[in-house]
Amino acid sequence: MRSVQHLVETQFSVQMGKELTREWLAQRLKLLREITLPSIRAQSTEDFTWLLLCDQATDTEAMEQLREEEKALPNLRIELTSADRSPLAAARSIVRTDADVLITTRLDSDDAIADSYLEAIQDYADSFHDSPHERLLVNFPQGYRLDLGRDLLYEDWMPNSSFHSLFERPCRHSARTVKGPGQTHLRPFYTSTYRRLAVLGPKGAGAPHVRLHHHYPTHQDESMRAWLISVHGGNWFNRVDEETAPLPRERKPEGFSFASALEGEKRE
Amino acid sequence: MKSLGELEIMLVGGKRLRGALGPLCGVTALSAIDWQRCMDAAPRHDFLLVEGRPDIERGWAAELDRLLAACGEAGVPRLLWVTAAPLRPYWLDRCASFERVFTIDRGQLGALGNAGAPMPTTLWPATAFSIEAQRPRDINVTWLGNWNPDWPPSWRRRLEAILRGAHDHGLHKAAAGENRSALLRRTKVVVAADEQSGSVTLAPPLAFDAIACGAAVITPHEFSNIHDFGVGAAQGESRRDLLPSVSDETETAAELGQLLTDDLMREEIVEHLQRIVANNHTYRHRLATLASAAGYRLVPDAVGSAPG
Repeated sequence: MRSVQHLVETQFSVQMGKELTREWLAQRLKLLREITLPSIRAQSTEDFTWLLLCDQATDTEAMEQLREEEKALPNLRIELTSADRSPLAAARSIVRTDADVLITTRLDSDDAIADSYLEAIQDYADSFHDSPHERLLVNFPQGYRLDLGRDLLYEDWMPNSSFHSLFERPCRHSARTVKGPGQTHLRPFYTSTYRRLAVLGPKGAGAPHVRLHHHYPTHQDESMRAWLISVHGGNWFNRVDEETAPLPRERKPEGFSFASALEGEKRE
Repeated sequence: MKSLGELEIMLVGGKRLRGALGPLCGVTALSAIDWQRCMDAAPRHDFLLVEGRPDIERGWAAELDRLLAACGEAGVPRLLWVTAAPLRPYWLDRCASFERVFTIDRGQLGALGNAGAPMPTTLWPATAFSIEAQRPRDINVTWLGNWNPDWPPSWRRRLEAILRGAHDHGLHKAAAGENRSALLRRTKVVVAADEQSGSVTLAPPLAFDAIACGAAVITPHEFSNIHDFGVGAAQGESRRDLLPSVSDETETAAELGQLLTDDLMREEIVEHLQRIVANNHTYRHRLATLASAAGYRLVPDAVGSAPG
């Protein structure tokens, strides 16, 4: 029987050259609880680990709250990072080297995924395993943007979204990889990409995920609207194009059951 | 089902698409005369793909509506892929009858959406050519040479300006009947202007064929920004478009000046572009994406493309 390990990797408070202030952490924790966590809870499959990476210097109060969430959600696993323990090392610590297929899905700590998204990604495991690919990226380009400030929903399409999944073969790599067992390659690739590729000008996102298709075979799945990016004061790059019209106010994101609950809370 | 090769599809399409998809999966090419017999003969069809070409309505007329109705009754997903511009009223009238609608021209998305097309989406063309290694090339710049009097005046002016800019760099206009792939394999830089469609927002198949054949590309179409064909150099240097869009004589001359005088840079650009095409823009990739829209989750099951 083929074994598949699916990691959903979220960097919550991994330091990226900025100070982890209490205010910033409080805002991010609020977004995580309102947007990201409910969408994880609503997943139609339980066969995944949600890896939440936090810097060990993260404020104690914020960590206590995250640990409470970890107790309540069996899929959630918090791993600490530091100058001596990179995100890659943290991910490596939970990768099963005997897995036939390792899937690593990226999810930002202020975004959401459709209820059936992880299950849909896992549907590719067999096809990937039987293919000649050593690695493959799977991207779902269809999604939504939710402007939290103005409560406006937009349809969106991104052939290089930040919600991609990397498929790998850890059991095949473990015997040959010099550095050790097979592991997710997302983080080291991002690191080397930051070094090699400059951030684009004002119009460009600059995030390295927009260039992953340069280096990895990539498949675009057009079966569903799979993700929701929240637009708020803290994410400078995730603006809505001024030319794009929002959906009618009564339209809700299809396939995102948490959004209905969010609407209910607002009315209360 | 575990691979694209196991798919069985019905196709109403032109020669290029039939030739590209034929080696990749089971394809039943339908004709307006005997589509019903073909449909009845096979035990299973995973989806119907209709290519939205400009001349197709002459052959199919009302038969396409019957085919779409029959597929709807049989539960066979119906996909439309518009591969030309301008967008014909024939397709606008029918696009709501499909489960999904795709187009190589992002400028058509609004009209398709207003006509009731479900989730209209850009889906670029691809190449069926094998990725060609670098080799000595004796032609500086090639333009395939087709000229359509029905093109919008703005497009004709744009293309004329670009050809003027290319003229002093050794522009070769393809002769009638000249072998396309052989010509692309001899050329250093291709002016990737679509031979049929005069639409700025269209992604021309020629761009992907040229890259596969080892040529650099400049293009009067504006499409490459949506999938980021750019690379940034080290900090402090400017971003370089690997697949630059040009709109006038000056821009064309400047791009060609760089690409033709610096062989090493041009070859590096082509190598990078070929990697992008091999990873993203073959017909295996398109078939896998179309299959996903029909409910099948299958990876593009090999690197590279069918021999061209």
